[in-house]
Amino acid sequence: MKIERGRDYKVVMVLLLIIVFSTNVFSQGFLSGVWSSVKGFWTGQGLIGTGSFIGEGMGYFLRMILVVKIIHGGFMPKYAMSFPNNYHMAIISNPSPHDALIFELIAFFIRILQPVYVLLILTVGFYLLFMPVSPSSRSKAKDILLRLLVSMVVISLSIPIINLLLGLSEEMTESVFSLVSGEEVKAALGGAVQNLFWVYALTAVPYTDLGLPYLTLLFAMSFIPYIILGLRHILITLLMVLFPLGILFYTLPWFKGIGKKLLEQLIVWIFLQVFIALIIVVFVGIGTTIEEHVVLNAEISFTNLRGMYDLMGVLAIGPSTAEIGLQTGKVLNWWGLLLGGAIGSVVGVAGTEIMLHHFYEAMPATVNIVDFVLGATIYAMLIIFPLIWSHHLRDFLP
Amino acid sequence: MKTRTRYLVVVIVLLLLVLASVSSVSAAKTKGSVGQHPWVSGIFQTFTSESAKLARKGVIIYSSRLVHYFYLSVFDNMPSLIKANPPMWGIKHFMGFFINLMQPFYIAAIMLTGFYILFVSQSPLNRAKAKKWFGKLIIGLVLISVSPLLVNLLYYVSGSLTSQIMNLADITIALGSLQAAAQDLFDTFVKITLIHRYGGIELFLLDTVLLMALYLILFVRYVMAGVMAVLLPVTIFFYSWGLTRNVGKMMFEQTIIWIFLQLGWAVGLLIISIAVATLPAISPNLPLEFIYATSLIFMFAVPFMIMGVMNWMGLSIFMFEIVQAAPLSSGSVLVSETTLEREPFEEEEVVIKPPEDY
Repeated sequence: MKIERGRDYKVVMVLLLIIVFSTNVFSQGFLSGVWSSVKGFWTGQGLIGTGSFIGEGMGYFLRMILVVKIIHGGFMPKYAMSFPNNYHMAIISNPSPHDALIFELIAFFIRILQPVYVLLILTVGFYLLFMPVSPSSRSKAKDILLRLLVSMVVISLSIPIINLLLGLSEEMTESVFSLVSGEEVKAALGGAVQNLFWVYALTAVPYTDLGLPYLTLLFAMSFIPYIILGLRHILITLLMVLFPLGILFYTLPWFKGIGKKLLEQLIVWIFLQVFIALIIVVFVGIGTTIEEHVVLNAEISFTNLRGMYDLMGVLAIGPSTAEIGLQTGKVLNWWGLLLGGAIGSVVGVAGTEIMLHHFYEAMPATVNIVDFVLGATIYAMLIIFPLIWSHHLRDFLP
Repeated sequence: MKTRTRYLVVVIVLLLLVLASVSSVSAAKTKGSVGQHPWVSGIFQTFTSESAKLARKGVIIYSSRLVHYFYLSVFDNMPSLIKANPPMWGIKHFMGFFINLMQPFYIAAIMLTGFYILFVSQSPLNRAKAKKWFGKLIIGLVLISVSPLLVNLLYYVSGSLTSQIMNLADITIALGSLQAAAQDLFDTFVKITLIHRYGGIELFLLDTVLLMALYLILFVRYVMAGVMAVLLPVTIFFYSWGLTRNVGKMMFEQTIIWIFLQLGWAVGLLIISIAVATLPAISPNLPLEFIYATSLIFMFAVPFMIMGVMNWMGLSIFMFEIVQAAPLSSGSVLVSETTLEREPFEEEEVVIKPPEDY
């Protein structure tokens, strides 16, 4: 049923293209200014009043070449393939509290807190020594004093503590990554981006807006992993700098909620990298096993895309040369049309082949639905999981 | 595309082809004198631009057809994708990593507790506490060691229940109607595109985005079931410590949700089958697209419904815990309050008694 339908569509397509090809010769438009100046010389009078097909075809052809060159030649290697190539570095990297600027900031906050501590300890001491209060309040005050003293120690150790957390997380991430080979991960992430690009290329040929959702997805896949990791980097830096403050808040019973949130968020965002690594690793490990459960692994053959590009090449150049052949006047006439058409077609296809040589070389024979959806899945999970993780993980500190 | 429309297109194309040959012949014959017959050039103009548009429409339909059938395979794959669970041989390796990671912690904790009981502890209360911990640690260690079996059990229960549910009614009715409706949506897109080049783009987007999302959510569930199963040893570890119990609870909920999601889809398909089978009796002329859109939205909503239900279950588990632990918890609140109040009088030893099983 489907094969028949496909054949019918192909018949319709071929007929349409024959019409277009056979009628283009009567139109002008491309280089119309140039042509109109020479037209009079050749024929005396213009055969065709108007017609924008050649112009449109040529413009469209150039636009598609530009899309290929800009997206495939520029955007893909520079941005889209960046995460697959640098995923390890991007995920494993952490801000260091020993970095001069961050260190300065943490030291600044600790310096701010020093007088606060002095004041708090003095107040509590004063309260204990001179205020006539109930035993329970005294015990509370004693408790606070003890907590203040402990938190002072913790704050002075804040950089080693942060370093410990970061180191722990980094080591765990490394050992999670060691479960699969880096090449496999690279192939999985890169394949995802490539597959999406090829479906984009296919849909953008007839009408660039048709491929726009895929282009948007491609942009999202290129940038969102970095955005998530960048957000993690920024948040860790922020929470690291606020760590002494968080400890102080956590010590004081009145601000305990804020301090708890600050510290919890620091822990959650630091250890997020382990889970991002885990998602990638497990995905690479078991993702492809879903193929066993797929009954119909639908495929798109990219000979279609190649055919469409070649035809565009023919349509962009063939009609013009055919018209030149026809217009060469009374001598060549119909033979000129045929000869010009043939020469134009050859030039068009050859030009396309030369211009899109690298594009065709990189083109896969087919893309199947399992690979395509799996690719989108890994990126979707990279985006969804941190959200779930940071949303659900709370209230774990006492 | 239906047969009639297809023939219509072919006839139009042939007509245009005939027109093209006739007009080109006349053009060739009247070459040089066209200027005196403006209607000829008018026909050429219209014909050229219209055929250019038609060609463009043809390529749009051709290209989108490829993509449409690419995604339409989701309905053929849906039953087996819903039933699918990651194979144990695939996740064992990763689970082993986490089991190996957790076991030293447990062993150290058990050794320390034993050391504490034997040599350090003085008061009966602390010894009792340590003994309780000892039991907990042993149970945790055992659970972690058998966690691959637990995962297998969860997969088995969920998978076989799903199969059972899907055998209850003929789900091909649901799949067939969904597929027919998707096809109808695409055919509408084709017709609209024939009228206007860019007219049907939104319909095409709706069609492909819905199908793609369906594929995506099925795949995400498969991988997430694997990820959460791999994390099961960590989940058990977190759940067994008071400090990290909340994390463990959340992770356990997520494990259950992602694994049992297939059950929700199975029920969803079943319900759609029944609904579709009973709908024509009510309204024979109901356009399929509405059922399609509604059913698909229902399929997307299932995970959220499951999550809602699971949250509900989580709440009931929580309530159960509270009810069960109520005497203890109210007692502990009382104890902590009284100890705070009476600390200077040192009466806490009297208030707290060692448990009965000491």
